[in-house]
Amino acid sequence: MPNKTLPKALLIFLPIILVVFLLGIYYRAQKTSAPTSVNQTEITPTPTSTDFVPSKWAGDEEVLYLETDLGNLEKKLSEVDLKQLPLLPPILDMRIRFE
Amino acid sequence: MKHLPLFILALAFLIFFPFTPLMAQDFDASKALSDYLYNINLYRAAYLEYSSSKNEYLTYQTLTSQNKALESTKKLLNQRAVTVKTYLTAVRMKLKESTSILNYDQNYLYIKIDDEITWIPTSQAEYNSAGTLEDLVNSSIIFEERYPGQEALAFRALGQIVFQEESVLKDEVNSLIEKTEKKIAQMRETGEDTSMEERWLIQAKEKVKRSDAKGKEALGLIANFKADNRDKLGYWNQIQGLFEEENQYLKEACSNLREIIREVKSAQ
Repeated sequence: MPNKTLPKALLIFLPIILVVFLLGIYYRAQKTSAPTSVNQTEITPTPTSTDFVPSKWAGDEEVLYLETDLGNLEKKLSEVDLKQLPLLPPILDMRIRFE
Repeated sequence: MKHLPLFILALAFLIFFPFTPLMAQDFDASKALSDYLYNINLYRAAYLEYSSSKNEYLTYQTLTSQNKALESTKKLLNQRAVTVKTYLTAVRMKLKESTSILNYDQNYLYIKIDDEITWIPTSQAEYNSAGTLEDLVNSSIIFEERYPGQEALAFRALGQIVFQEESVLKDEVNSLIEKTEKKIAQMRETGEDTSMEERWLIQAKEKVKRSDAKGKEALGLIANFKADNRDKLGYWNQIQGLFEEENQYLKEACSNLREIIREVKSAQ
């Protein structure tokens, strides 16, 4: 009779073991799931303050004049008309014929 | 009382005479450009009229259609001449305004442009005296053969205008570099470490050298602008591309100077 009860027990417990095993795999997969972003962000230390600390030259009159002149010059360089479109030669008919 | 009319005449002369040079001075590059743009619109209208009457004449070959074609062609050729004259005037005025220091190339261009502007009314006299379509066409051919030279001249003038404007800006960049260099030297004398600033300065000077090379290359192409160049616009675009590169190098030099100022102002 032990031969008859062993397959019966297997029939009952095997599915249970299988379900438990699958549940275990599922929960493990949930715990160690890959992040959604491609690049994993590393934990970085708290950044220190990056506020601008002026040097003793920051208020120097000549330095400030240089800065202002530079700003004006950059503006002029952006505004210079290199194409001269309105002054390109006009398109005129240079073949007046009656044929 | 006897001399009253003479007095009034003298007074009128004194009042109105000073305005004459003032009114002449009002004609600047902007006015010249407006004048040209106005005339090119008139040319386009005259061209439509000419096209229509030409088609009519070629279709019907009647005396009426021939006379109509003759009148509209005269009008078109006159307007074409005026358009070219006002265009060359606009270019000349812009050349005068953009360049403060006269040089040989600029003087040469002035003389050549003035020659062309002076010649145009003589061609108009030919159109007005023409009695047949054949005469008009022959007169037109003379103008047509001269126009490529006028075009090349205009492009050379435009090239000079842009070159001079860029040269002025390049001088300003060099002046800023010089002042910055002096400031850095002053800081170095106080014991500051200016090695970073000096590296940026070398880069800025290098950028200006490259800019200068591009400008000279453009000038070389401008000098070679010929009347028989079949693709004048394409050639101009080549020159304009070199000016863009020249300008870009000057901007990069300014970026280097901006880095220097940032370094100088920062204690970090």
